Amino acid sequence: MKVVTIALNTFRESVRDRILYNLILFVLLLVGASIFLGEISMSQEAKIIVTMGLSVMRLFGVLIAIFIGIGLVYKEIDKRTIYSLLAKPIHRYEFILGKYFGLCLTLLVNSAVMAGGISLALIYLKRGLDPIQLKILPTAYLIFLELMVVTALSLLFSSFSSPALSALMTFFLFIIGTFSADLKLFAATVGSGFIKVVCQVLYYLLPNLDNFNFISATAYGHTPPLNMIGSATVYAALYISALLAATVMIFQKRNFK
Amino acid sequence: MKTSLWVTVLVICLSASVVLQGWIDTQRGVGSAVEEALYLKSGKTLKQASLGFEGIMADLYWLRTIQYFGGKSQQLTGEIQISNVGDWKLELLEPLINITTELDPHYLSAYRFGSLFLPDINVEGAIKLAQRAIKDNPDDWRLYQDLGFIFWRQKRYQEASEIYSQGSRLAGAPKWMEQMSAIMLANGGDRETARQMFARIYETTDDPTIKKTSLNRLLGFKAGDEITFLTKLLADYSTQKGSCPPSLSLLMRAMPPSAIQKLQQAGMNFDESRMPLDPHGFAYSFKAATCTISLAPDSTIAPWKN
Repeated sequence: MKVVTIALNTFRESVRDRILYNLILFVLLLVGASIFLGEISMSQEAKIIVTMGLSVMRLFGVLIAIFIGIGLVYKEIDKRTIYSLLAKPIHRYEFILGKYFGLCLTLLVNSAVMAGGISLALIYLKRGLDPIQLKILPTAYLIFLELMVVTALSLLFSSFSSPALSALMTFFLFIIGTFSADLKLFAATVGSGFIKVVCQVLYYLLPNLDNFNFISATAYGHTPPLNMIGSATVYAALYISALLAATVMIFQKRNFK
Repeated sequence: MKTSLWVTVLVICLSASVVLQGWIDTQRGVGSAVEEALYLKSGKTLKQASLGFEGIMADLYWLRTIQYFGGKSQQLTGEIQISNVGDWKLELLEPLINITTELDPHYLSAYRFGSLFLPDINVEGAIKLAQRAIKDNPDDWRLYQDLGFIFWRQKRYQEASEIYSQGSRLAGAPKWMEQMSAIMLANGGDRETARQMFARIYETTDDPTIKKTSLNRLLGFKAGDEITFLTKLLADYSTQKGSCPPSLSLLMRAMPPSAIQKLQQAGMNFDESRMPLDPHGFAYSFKAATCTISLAPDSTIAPWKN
């Protein structure tokens, strides 16, 4: 229950910080694209709207996950509000979990509104309902899972490092995670045994964000297979649990005196 | 809550995610080969899209080229044994090298790699690449050597000679570039010229794949010399005894140990029973019916074919 209270407060704080204002920019982008793309894109308007909309949803989401995620814990310490919080009967793990789910709720609202916006733009383009408007939803869900992983990463780094360094490390891991398939391929083709082992270990330990990427295929009218959605969900749950466990362990050891 | 609980959660979840990732990879076929598709085939477009990071993009494409080449090699042979890559179905090699060199027009390793392997796939593409290499790097004599090499392989000796001659006039070009220009016109198609060509490539490259390929070619010439020598021994034996020896071991036993020793000193390999081996350690094949010696069918030596 305390976790829920902290999560809702974190969400309210995000709203007060005008984080959801990015939605206005997103809607303007989509409206503009919907009007002008018809003139220049040679009947590829729907494909471009889907690719651009989902990519921007991912980009904005990652930026929010990184830049808000790194401040979740740091801000409380910097403003010294952590003392009054921890003086209450709240466990440190409840504080971390509450903060995490609060930001996830913000991202959920953000992603849901953006997915709705893409669907509306597609309705405008197709002058009515079309299957593609529903096909974007599973892909949007996968993007949301990816954002949850990135949020857990930024929270982990912010539990022991400065905001700038946390943002940098989360961003690097996001890039590495996006290209993690290349790590495995490199491990398969490299001659040296040591480098092969290092690459394989890194491949399995670092987040594999390729599991959540289905944007390009969605633009061609495909939906992610059910086993992909299921495995990505379980993978996200396991990886996030591991990251949150590590975050809690570090946070419990921190001395705020 | 106790730390041990969180450690347990961490270890269990991370281990489970590793197992799950393995399962996902088998379902999706991740990491088995470089994707057989290039979404962007123009290095110029990529250069504009790279926002000033074309250097690192070129490096990434070069790594992808090497992975693609190595991956294909391992798929086909289980290990890297390169003699002719024409049958490897390397459809992406040319666009990958073109993208790398369009992103970074001074990427000499990519040009040189392309000059050696692309002629087996698309000769005109290889010539265009080598000509672009020279246009963008007119002061590097090794690129003239590479274009000369491609012309020589196509038996276009006049053009090969001209390119060697142009390259020989550059600062730092070795003397043999000038000699190669003359050799191309005089004896372009003979085996000694071919040996010289591969020897020069072997000496001037830093790329381990190119070095290994050139060495394999040179060992092919060495095996050719050894077969010529053994064939002469067979002919001498046949003249003396009136017929071909029934086996190679009989021929070798007829040779005095001092002669074997001399051959060993000259670099020829023998097994414990004094049977001659090719440079990769495979016993030469002997056919008594035709009285001929050749490379063993399973030998990994690439014989020279003009």
